[in-house]
Amino acid sequence: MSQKDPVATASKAGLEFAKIFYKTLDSKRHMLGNIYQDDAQLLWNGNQYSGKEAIHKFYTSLPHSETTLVSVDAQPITAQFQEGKPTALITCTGNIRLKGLQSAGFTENFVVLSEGTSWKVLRGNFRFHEPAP
Amino acid sequence: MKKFNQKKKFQKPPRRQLDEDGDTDMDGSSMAKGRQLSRNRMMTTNMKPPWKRDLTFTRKMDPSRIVLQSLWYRILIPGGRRFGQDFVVRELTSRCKCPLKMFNFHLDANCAIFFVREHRTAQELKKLNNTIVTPQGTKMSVIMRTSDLPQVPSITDVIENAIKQAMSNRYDTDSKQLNLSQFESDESLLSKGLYLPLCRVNVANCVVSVITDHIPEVVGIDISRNEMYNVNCLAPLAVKCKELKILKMAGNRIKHVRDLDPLKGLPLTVATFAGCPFTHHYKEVDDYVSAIRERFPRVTMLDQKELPPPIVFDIEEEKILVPRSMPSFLPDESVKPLVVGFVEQFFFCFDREDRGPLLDAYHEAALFSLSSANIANSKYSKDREKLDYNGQSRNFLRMQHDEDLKRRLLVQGRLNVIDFFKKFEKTQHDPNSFIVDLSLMMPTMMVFHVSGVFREKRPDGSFFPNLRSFQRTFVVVPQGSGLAIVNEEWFITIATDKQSRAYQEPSPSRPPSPAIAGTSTMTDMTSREEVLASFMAATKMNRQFAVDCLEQNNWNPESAYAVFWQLSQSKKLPPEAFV
Repeated sequence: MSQKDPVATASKAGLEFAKIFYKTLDSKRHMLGNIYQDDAQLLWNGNQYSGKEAIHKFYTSLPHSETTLVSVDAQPITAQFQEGKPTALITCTGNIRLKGLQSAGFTENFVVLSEGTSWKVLRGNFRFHEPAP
Repeated sequence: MKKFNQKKKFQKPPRRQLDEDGDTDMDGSSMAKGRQLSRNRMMTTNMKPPWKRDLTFTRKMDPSRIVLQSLWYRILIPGGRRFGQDFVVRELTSRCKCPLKMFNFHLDANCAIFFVREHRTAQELKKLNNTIVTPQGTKMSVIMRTSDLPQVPSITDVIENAIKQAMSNRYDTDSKQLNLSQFESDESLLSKGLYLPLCRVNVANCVVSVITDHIPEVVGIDISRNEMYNVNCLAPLAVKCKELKILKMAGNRIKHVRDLDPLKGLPLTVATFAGCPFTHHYKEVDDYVSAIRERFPRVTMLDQKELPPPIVFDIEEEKILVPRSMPSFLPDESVKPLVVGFVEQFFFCFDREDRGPLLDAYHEAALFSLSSANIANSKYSKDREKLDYNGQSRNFLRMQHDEDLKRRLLVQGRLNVIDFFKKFEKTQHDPNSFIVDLSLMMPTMMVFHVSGVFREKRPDGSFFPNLRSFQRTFVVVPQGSGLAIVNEEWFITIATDKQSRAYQEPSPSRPPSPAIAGTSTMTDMTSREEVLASFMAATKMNRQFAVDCLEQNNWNPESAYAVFWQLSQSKKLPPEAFV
């Protein structure tokens, strides 16, 4: 991945990430923890899960899902942090059907960092499009 | 909708059987014909499956069955939308030679469609074909066809309210029992011209949402005799209704016991399925009982017969864990006022005529992009209102490999961002709907997310009828005495049905949401003491340090917090500040 063209890098990484993430969520849930950094944090409808382990545990307890993505957007975060590693901000929207529930629209954001050969999630934030609880 | 074939001259003989979705076939396609013929054969010979025979028997015994059994007539008025509902209803009612009771009147494309039940009424309406002169001067066509269950085109707010009304009449708050048996023949619905059978999936979905949203504590539901064959739409009950112990589903059309699987997890102790086709598949009662107990292990009363006590191990119960949605996530008290103050000011400026002042909120090299798409359960499916942002929507799924377009749609530099906002139609956000989630907090950077609804103006100045649901992510860095946005991603969609209902009338005079409440961006300095008190509470600093900090920032709590936050993050505040 080229550091010289952060916009193109973030765009490519964002789209690829979104596809892989939801495919893993729907069909290989037990692997999903690996996409997160050790000190990652997930906010799922305002519920906080800190650390890779807690996130993994949360996902494995969630009912089976079927997700359809309808929108993906991504930008490079150029502000200096995390030792200047290439970083992308990704916004995904889709419909998710959790087993036993009606299909519902959500938007989920990710801050992902390039760790050499692979990209890892530092932050995830998921919200249904619903009235404020 | 089903296309009406006007060239077809022949009138089909009345039929009683239903398609899978309950429609009479009106297209006359050969496949559908074949299916109906084979069904006709089933109905007229003794080859009837046993459940059919039983059902016919019950129907004969029960006069109320006639309601569902009887044939309906579908009346279509081409161009009815242009003539107007009032005109169509008034003219037909006054000219029809027998009492006219219309059901499920709706407009579809250009047509007006409704249903009548009486054969005579239908015949009289047919005679009115080409006899009424419309306001446009043409003759009004009245096309009559036979139909089985009337269509329920879409659940409008009117229909939903009628359903709620009917349900509340049928709910006993003391015993927490809900009686939905033969829902379609509910008098309060029929009197409003609504025929809403529960075997229509959209009707069932609406009823189920009302239950899960308003009475999740329900203990018993009687849903018998509704001709339901698909119980998938009842699945949310299994997740939300933890007290539901009594479920009566007798006299529905459930074909296989496995069709009940979506209801697994309900703590049922009393169940009735008598009369459902699948119950006849079992030669031995024991097989039937164990098939039911496989799904609902705690059942002790089945079809009004007591069963031996169940053998249940608690570990066997499937645990479904979907955490409840929580309010705004702003864990750090010291930073909460800063973020909330920023959000408040940002959207206040965004909704104003001149968005120019927002320039100060952005970093020189800010990046911004807007994306949009439609999602499930939104008004979009009803109104087809388009999210048209002049091709500015940076949705990668619509431009998978066009890297140039992706680059062009990324707005770079704060002057361009403000320019983008100046061209964006006027908005009115509803602060009551706001949720603010702070997901990353470091001395050099923060990431937070704001979601909620807003109203968008058309170019002509009027508001679009549907609310927008949005989600904006901000990456900010400290700058001067405040924050500067370095990245922003804004997603917009049409609000979901639930959001539309909750925020239909956004008014600025409403109390702000809990996320926003409790912060002060007070410019009015009449109550310095209050500012000071809340500042001290938020920062835990002592009076002297708090006053100094506020003084240096012109008593603007937001800037003061920003300074405080920076200093505390970089550990530059002396311990005596907190004594």
